[in-house]
Amino acid sequence: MVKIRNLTKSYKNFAVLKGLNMTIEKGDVYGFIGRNGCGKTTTMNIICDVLGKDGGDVTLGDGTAKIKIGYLPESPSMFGYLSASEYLTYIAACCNRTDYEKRTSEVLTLVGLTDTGKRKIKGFSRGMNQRLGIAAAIYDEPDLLILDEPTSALDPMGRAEVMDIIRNLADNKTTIILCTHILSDVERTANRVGILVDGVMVKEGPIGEVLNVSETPTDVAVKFLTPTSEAFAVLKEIEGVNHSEINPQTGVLTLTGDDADTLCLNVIDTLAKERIIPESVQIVRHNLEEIYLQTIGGTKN
Amino acid sequence: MNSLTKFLAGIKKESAFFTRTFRAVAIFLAVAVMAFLNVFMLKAMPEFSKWYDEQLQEITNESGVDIGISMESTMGGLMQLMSDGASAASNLSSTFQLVLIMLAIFLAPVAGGEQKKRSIVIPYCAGLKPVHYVLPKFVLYPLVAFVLITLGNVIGAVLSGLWFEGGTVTAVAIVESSFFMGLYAMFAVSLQLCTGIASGRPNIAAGITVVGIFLAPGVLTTLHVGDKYNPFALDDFATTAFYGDLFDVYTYANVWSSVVITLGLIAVMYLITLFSQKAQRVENAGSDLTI
Repeated sequence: MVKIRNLTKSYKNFAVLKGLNMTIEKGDVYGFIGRNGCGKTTTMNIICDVLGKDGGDVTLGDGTAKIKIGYLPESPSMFGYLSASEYLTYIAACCNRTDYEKRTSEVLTLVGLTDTGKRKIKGFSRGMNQRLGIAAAIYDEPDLLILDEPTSALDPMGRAEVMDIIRNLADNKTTIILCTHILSDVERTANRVGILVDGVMVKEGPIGEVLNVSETPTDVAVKFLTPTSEAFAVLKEIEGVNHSEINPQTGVLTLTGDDADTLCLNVIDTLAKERIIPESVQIVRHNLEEIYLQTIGGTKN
Repeated sequence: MNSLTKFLAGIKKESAFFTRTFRAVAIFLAVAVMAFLNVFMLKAMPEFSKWYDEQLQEITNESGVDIGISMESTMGGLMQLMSDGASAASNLSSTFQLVLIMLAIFLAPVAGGEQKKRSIVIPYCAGLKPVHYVLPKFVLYPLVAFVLITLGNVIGAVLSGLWFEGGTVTAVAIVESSFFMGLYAMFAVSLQLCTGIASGRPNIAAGITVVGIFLAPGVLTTLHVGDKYNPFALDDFATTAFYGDLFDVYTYANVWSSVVITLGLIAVMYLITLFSQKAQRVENAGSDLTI
């Protein structure tokens, strides 16, 4: 769906993209992550053709026909003096939709803005604004949907609502580029991930591959409501523990062995025998945040 | 959906901006009220001068110091000589200045403001073509300026005809002056749209337009081209029309060359704006780009 090779872009003398390579297949939900200022928005603006590139190739679709792109910029700005349905009717005119009455009603229902009536956009909350932006982006049933920080500055409720909409679109096989700093959203929604550092793609692939899910976990984390040195001493002596470490800030004891599954069962057995009640016992798996921080750190080093 | 439908969607959007934000009400009301007040003040000036002199006389009597300045004999005397043509011409100039300044402020959000706030990114991604974005603005707002000038001019000219002597305010004079000054206002609005949209800096564009329109006539007069081949001469044609036959003062060549050049410049500004959108899209945003 999107193939980017050696993409470069500079603003005056500042190189933002330095030979970016990126591949997105049809039906992918691609989590595009990276620090602020690393070039994510620039990449998306170039894909949408609202910004010119300095060099490299951007191939959309099979490269022969133009594909339909829906784009939700970060903090989308819309014409505040129009109502939601009027704005979408204007978008309908932009994308040549003749069935605008039906389609406007459909997308407003999809994003949960049916009851806004004649209320003007300028009176909308941030969450409503974001949902209307999504409605505009998906209006013409795009082949590729690009969402730049769709949940930024939203409260937890608004964020959950917007992520629900995105998950519904993903279920309908819409190809999506999801750019966000909320990595748990990417982990839950995306099937592929790309980590951009200083204008270069440093890690890209299926999310399972990036998270190393095939790797056997080795760590078990035990947390107590009231940590005691006796409890820690008992757990350190469990069979199969190669290494143990206490986090003094959180009071979490991390035990490392050869196989986290066996170790976890041993921990539970020992705690039950000693009648010690933990707050949680958890097998530690790599998450995206950890991988992301490792990647950023590795590059820095 | 054809181009006409897209154009009409643009017109509808711009109309909504102008009417729903109370800009239309404010400016039409301001022009109408100011036109009335302009002529009324001229008419009332002798009376006002008389009242002022009476106040002055009282002060002189009480203090024993003769200030010796008579408003009635100066301003009032001048106002007694005011003709209907001079009153209408004075009102027309004031109306133009009011329309120019109010539109410069009111149109900033659509003359570069949408580039600055990136409100056009979503429509462009949805398939909006620059021509369907730029053309409605270049049709609607210059037309609004023309109508405003005509409104202010008609009110001022009719009142001048009723309240002053002279007989030079005729239907032909009103039509001619409205046409020339209206066209001049269309030029000013086109200049603001062009500089604003092409640069993405709405406030600077408004400033350039107002200052440029006020300063350019003086500069051109210094260069001895003040009354011909340029849009700024339209101002003189419009006010001269109220003093008698315009073509007694200016040649046909001067008048119509200025009209044609003004129309040509409006077309050029439209094309520059269109090209700027095709070439730059969001890159012309006045603020720093998000990376």
